[in-house]
Amino acid sequence: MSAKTAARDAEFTAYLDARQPQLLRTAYLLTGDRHQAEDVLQTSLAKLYLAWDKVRDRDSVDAYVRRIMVNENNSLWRRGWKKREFATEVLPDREFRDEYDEGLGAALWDVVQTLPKKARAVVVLRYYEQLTEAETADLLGISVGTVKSQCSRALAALRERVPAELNPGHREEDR
Amino acid sequence: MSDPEQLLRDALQDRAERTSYDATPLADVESGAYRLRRRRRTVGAALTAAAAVVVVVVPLAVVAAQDPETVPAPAPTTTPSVPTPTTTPTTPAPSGGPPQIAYAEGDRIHEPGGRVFQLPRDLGVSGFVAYRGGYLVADARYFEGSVGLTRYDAGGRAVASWTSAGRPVSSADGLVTTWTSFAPPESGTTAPTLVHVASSTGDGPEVTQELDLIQPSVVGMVGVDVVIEGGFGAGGVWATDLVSAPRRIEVLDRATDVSDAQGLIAGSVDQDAIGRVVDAATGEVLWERQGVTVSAFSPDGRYAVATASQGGRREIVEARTGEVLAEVKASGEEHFPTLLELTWEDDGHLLGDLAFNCCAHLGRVDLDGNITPARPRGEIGGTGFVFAATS
Repeated sequence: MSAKTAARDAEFTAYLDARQPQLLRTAYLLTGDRHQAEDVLQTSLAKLYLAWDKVRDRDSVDAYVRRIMVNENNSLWRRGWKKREFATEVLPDREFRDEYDEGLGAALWDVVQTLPKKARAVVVLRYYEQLTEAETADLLGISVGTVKSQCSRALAALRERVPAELNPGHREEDR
Repeated sequence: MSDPEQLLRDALQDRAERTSYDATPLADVESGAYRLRRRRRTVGAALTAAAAVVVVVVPLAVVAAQDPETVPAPAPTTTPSVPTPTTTPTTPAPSGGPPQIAYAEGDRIHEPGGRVFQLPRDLGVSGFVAYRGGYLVADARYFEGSVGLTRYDAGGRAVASWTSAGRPVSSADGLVTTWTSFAPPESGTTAPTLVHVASSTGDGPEVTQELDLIQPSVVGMVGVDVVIEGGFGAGGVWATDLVSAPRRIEVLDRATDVSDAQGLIAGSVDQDAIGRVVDAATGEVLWERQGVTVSAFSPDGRYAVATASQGGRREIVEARTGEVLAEVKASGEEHFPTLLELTWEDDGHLLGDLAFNCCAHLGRVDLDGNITPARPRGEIGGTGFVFAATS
């Protein structure tokens, strides 16, 4: 391995160590499925690795990866053509069960999961990654107005569909 | 509901924090990157094998004609006539050997290996890709920006036809094919203007998206995005993943080619006066040059072809910087052929449609710009050549 490659890999590894947990969480919120999240992130990191020398501004790497992840998540419709299922006599070693509470958080998550992918990406980037409207619009390649309208619709859906009794402000508002 | 935005923040944060993950080590990332690099090449080979298996059990309706100049011996009757995928081959093209990618001449599509796919009607060919065992062919019935697009099955039968613009294009790995369709204004009928993306082998769904564009044409695919030129009206260059609304690539007025390998789009602004190469992901203009058209990225995306607006001089340039690497030694001057179309045969060679002494010739251009015949001397064509379009 050349010194240049070694330095490049060291720099990339440092980025992985520092940012991977956060990126995994974002991927999970985008996909709603742990295995898909890992799949999306692995592909995104592979693409980032290939493009590492081209991403000149290291401060923008996160934005670059987020964009790849959003595109990868949206591209699952293409993967159906590429993937084939094979019969096997070997059972998976363990079942994955996604455990979570049954209260307000679950109700909100249910609503988020029903959002179209584009709207869901807007919600995750705005309210989890806490990007600004302009940053979200730039990353998704849409207008700020579209970001606002998608957020507005998502919040309206929350108000409409989350049971009132789960709302912490419910009792106070009723008084 | 009390501050739904804060509730949403808290819920997402909590949800994300509670879920555990297995971190991906660098070795796995490198392995994934390696697979991405190799995919376009290995998939092409796999598709060839798969197509051959299918065809052995399917009765052939048409016996493909042999090209006597390029095939030394008759093929056995069980040899499949299904077109070879139009992806770029992995092995370097032999100097002076027959073309290693499919090309059309008149109503015949010449496949690598010497087989000839005969189209049932001579409507001309302006573009084509291997599709569902046969071909998707844009003909030369050019009218007010539109052309006819016909799908031919493996037996050479026309099984579907649309009005389109431009030409169909396959993804770099050959797995996916994309094209546009619309109702021509002169037909008096109405139909949505659509961009289509479908599995090239026909074993997956066809996905469409309605476009608010007039007679758009496909330029190519970068990642999951289809890059489209807007045609009449709004025009412009657009990218869509067929899920979100198409987004305009503001820094280009027209687009000529894409490189999926490098994530690049070539095009122009200011009525084609300035050629540009743009990073497809960021929209950053990597370089631009007055008075040239940039087109034809090599399969690995390292090189492109720049054509001078005046004089038609062709240069092989470094795709990301525009640095001139070589001038193609064909200038249209006396004793030199005129280059009409260039496409990459592999990462080190281009195929050229050459006009010389009133005849069409097929030539091979190396990275130093030297031209050698790609078909035996004396074998000339009268109609010119068209090459398969791959992202």
